Amino acid sequence: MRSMSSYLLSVKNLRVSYNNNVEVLKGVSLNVEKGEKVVIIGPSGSGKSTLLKAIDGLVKIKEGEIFFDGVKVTNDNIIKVRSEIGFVFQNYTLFPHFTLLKNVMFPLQEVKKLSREESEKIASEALESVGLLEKAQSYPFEVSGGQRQRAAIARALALNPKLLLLDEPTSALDPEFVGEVLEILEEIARKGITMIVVTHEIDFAEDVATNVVFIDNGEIIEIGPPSEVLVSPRSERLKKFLSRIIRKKLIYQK
Amino acid sequence: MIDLGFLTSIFPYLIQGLVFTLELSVLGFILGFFLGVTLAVLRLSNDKLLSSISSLYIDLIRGTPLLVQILIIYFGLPSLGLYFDPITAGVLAIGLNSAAYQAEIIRSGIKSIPKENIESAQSLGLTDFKIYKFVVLPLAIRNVIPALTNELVTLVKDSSLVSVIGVAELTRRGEYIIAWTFRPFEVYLLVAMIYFVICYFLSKLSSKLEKVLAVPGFFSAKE
Ligand SMILES: Nc1ncnc2c1ncn2[C@@H]1O[C@H](COP(=O)(O)OP(=O)(O)O)[C@@H](O)[C@H]1O
Ligand SMILES: [Mg+2]
Repeated sequence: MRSMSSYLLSVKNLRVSYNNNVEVLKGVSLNVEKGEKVVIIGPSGSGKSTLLKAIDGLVKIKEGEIFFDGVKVTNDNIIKVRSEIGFVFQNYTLFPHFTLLKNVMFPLQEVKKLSREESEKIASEALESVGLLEKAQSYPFEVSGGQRQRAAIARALALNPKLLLLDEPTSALDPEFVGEVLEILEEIARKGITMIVVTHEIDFAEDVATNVVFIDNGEIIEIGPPSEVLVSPRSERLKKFLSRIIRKKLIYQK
Repeated sequence: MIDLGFLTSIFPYLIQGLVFTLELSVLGFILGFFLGVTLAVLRLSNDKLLSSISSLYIDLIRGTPLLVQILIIYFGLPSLGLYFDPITAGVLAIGLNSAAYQAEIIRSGIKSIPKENIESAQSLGLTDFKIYKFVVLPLAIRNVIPALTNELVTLVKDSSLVSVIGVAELTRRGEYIIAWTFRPFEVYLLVAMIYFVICYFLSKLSSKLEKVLAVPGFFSAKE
């Protein structure tokens, strides 16, 4: 089924519940155009990760539809859809038993069906672009958390995805490694890739986002450009949330 | 009391029995491993029917003595027209038995893998089969090498039960010698020693294997 819309991603009235009783997403709708950078913010437990996972078919949808690149996502095409969407998790995105190089090569060989030589060439370039070529033969847990996330980003990009999902890519990092990861994200954002990032890095959101989405309790409360949502929030809930984040940040900087 | 000359003279005969002991336990272990992996994967699958068939198998095997299982395969199955020579029957019984235990070991290994590792594999667009082959099983099995080796050690010892269907393995040969010489104490002691050396050696091998296959840095990582 093709839709006429120009959206790369269209989420329509999405409802998800894990244990059949409590709804974690209560009718979420979201459109993302090609090239857009959407930043999702919201309190812990509000359903941000669930939304990203639902887009990638990693959680069961109770109600609603998702269109990706004009096609309705179903069980039958989910494998193909996933191969066109990159996903970087907070942690454990990389396979711990593969070297960084193998981590990047592996999906090129097994999903994109490229030859070993070609995969290695692309993987090396991808690692080089995030400054990790000299760590190619290291295993994920032999490098820093920041390097791990950079490698995870490199792996996602090497597959040339149409959409990149990042779920709190810097939240698990020691503070000294946050900057290097955000820098790389800013760099790839400039290159025009479509991305949806869940993050509490408000500065990053201001610099990069075309749209900011505030989710609370399974619902989208506010959505709009950062100059509106972050600068003049309308709802009490968002005001509270932002002031909490900013306070935390000020305390940390001292 | 212990006559070294006597022990030396029976040693080669016992060692020939050890070959059967190892054949039974190693082949049984390998059969049990592949069947065990299959059972573990089925048990964890979303398919209710396959999952409960796997559970039922595991419960039945673990709830009945290996000795009885050996007897059923060797003496019982012929009435259904299935005949096995003693060694084959022994390997089958040990393999089918061990599969249930290995399935539970491997299942616990699978469950100890961070959920994100599996989601990450799915998110790449890998098929379930490839996720199991390249990610889930390699990680799961690394996690349970000590438990699997322990199972192999158990099989080496339990393979002595196969002596009841006439396989001339280590224990059976000990019994033959005793029947000829009436010297049970020395003979059983030597048989026990041989089992012990083999099991000790296997445990050492396990620690080596664990080190070789360890995921670099994984256990020193805090995150
Ligand atoms: N696998 C799961 N099973 C049951 N409940 C879950 C699961 N994952 C998340 N939840 C619940 O769903 C809600 C939203 O979680 P999540 O999407 O992770 O929120 P966020 O990413 O915004 O912190 C939370 O209440 C959480 O406890
Ligand atoms: Mg989350």
